[in-house]
Amino acid sequence: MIPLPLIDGRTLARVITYLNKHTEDDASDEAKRKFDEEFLYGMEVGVLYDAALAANYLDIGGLFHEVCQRIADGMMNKSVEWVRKTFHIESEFTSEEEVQIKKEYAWAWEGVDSNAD
Amino acid sequence: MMTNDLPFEIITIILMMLPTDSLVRFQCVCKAWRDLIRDSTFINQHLELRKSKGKGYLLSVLMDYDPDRTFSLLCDKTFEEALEIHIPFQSAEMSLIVIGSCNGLLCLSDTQRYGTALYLCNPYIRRYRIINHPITGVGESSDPKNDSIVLGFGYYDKTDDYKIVRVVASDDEHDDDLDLSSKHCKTAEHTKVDVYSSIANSWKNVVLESFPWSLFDVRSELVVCDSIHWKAFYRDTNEDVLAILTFHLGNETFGHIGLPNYEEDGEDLMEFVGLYKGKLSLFLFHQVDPQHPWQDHFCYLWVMMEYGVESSWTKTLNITVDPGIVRPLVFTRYDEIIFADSEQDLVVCHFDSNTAKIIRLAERGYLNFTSYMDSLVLLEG
Repeated sequence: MIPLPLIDGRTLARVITYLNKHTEDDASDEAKRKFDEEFLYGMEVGVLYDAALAANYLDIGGLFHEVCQRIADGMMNKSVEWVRKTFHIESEFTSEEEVQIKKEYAWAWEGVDSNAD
Repeated sequence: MMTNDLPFEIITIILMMLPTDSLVRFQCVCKAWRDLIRDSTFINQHLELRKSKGKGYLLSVLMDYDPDRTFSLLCDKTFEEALEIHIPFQSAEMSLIVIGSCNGLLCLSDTQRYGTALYLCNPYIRRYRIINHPITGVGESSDPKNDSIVLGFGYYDKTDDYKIVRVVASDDEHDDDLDLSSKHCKTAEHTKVDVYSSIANSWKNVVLESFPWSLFDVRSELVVCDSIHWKAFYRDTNEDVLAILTFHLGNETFGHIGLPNYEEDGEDLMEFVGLYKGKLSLFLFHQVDPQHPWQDHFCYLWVMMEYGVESSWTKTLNITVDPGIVRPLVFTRYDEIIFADSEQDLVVCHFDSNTAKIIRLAERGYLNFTSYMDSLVLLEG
């Protein structure tokens, strides 16, 4: 028995499901891709983060990469405030500093809702 | 939300997978993210990841001034319009030439002040740097109006430096009176080479012992194997021979690559140098003749199988291109050549399958055309 103290049971179960599919002898690349799509689709952000941590800890490159890409895809159009809330980040910027960045790169905020979620 | 905060190493990997515009916005999230997004190692890794995902563009911009002139990006796989970006620097009344494009950074020059008014610009993130550098100390009795100015732009990855090379040759009218050996020595006095380093943000003069070259392309066509390449005439003792002049971005020295003997391919062939399947290649074509538009357009592609080894030039393809070529523009990374035809349309010809496709562009007029990849290079100007 190998104890894995850093991963909760639910996440580990998901990782095992992934590994089972990916080590199937007769699973084609296409079938694996389809599985990944369905497996990761609709996973909540919190679940994805746990999966990323687990995959990294267990050194499962393919899963880790997929999950990171999912997290990136899910956050790319989000607002700065959403990102801070989701990643539990405190910003040390003063409001003047933040205004300065937004002014300097104003074009990057065009078409993005400030409260996009 | 999540049970454990993600360590910064994992956040770095996630951020590397984000599109460029998202990263520009996320500089605002916190200081650690801002510093990471501006870090040159991160910027280069982000760029490499985008390259490996196959996200590339073709960029065009009108040479002549037009109030609606923009940088126009086409997807380099489908040739569909992807984006139009306003020129971020003041360009009213200027005619612009794109000297080169590397890692998302363009080098441009104003034709009225060619080689003295230069711009480094990353259109995707709307950043630019103005570089003005007057020409001094070329020849004694020469008239600046007769100077020929040639530019090249390239990236040297070992020092993460974007460099601009300027070769100024004064055209002394009295040259013809001299015998050939004197002409050979004199060209070094009449040629001045300066190199700009983006890291140092300064120019340096390159000392020449001799420079037996006559350049005629105002800008270089190609950067490969850490060198900028131009077609030029090499002043051999008896005659001027067409060859490739190289400038190594690391050593900052000039070199020379001879062309194959393509006499048997035909007469009046024009030459265009590019990269085919990663190798230095010479594309030969007949420029379309409006008086004989029905003539077959035979083209040839010679590939230098081993870089720098002249005996390795191999004629690889004979193709017929229809419609005919007026001006070749760029080799793409999908083994195609893009050229302008007589209708001012763009034609994409895939070498291996010899199939051609016409891209009708909205803009008419002389276009600068280059391959482009979005990146965060020059984020801090």
